[in-house]
Amino acid sequence: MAISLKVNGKSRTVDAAPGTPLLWVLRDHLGLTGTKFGCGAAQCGACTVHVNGEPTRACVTPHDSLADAEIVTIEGVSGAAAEAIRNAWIAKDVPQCGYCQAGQIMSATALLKSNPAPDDAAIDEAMSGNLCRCATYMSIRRAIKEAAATL
Amino acid sequence: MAKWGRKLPKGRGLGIAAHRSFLSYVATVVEVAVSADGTLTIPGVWVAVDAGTVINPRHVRAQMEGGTIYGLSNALYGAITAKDGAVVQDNFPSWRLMRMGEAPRAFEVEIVASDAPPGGVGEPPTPPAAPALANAIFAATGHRLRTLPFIGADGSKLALPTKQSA
Ligand code: FES
Ligand code: FES
Repeated sequence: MAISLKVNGKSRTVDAAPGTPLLWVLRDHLGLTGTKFGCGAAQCGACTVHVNGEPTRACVTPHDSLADAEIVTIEGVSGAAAEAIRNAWIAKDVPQCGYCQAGQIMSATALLKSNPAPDDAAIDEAMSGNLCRCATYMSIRRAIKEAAATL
Repeated sequence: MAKWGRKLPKGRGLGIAAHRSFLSYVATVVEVAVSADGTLTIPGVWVAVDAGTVINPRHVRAQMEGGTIYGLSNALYGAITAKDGAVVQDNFPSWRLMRMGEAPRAFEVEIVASDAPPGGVGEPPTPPAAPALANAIFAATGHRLRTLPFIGADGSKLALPTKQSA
């Protein structure tokens, strides 16, 4: 059934099977491939997007539950926190292979939006749902602190 | 850099291991804190690497951190088992990786200056991570853990022998 979704500020019409996870609607129906598939089981965070500003695992969120929601992906994330995170990610050379990084950036941006000066415990809590097989955790922590310092 | 030999409070320990592969030498010191119930944290890791000529020191540093944490993750959590000809662990719930909150809190890398031919930096930090961790656990607790992984996919603590069985 065709429904309308609001993705990165634009209204998009999507005709996907009922219950199709948002991740596949983004990637396969809308061509927004910045959001990655890692596990499909809410374990890795590679698929993290913002739904009404909250970091959300797109792999386990049925797209048809989001009719009135503001969905923001890595392609569309913007604002002061996103800008600070983007600059710090570049300054600290955070990505290694890069596969997890869209999800890391979406989680880190949501963290700084809700808490502009996170301590280590807050970083642990906000970021522990995002796995990184290249183990860039040290760089991610440094970059979040640098981004916070520039906000 | 790790201040080897410094006095540590009860339940803390330093462990060291060194290794050569891909023409590179890596020495790793791990500090652990183990509470009485076996809860483990890793306050610090120090890695010295001689990889010959280094072109991009930030890349070397990232590889030392990543490769070490990869090794710590496997030592603590990473069991792979086979059943009926297939690997049992098929996704992250059963194949556990180290997460942000479990990763070392501090991590220092020192690159030894050298003009020798360049060596590898991707894999050499991984092998010394597990023995440095195991030695640190021994220094902290007096117990040699000899079965990998030390915690496993579902565990939350080190399985330290109880007083009676020790
Ligand atoms: S793909 Fe969604 S959490 Fe792993
Ligand atoms: S940068 Fe490779 S998985 Fe995170």
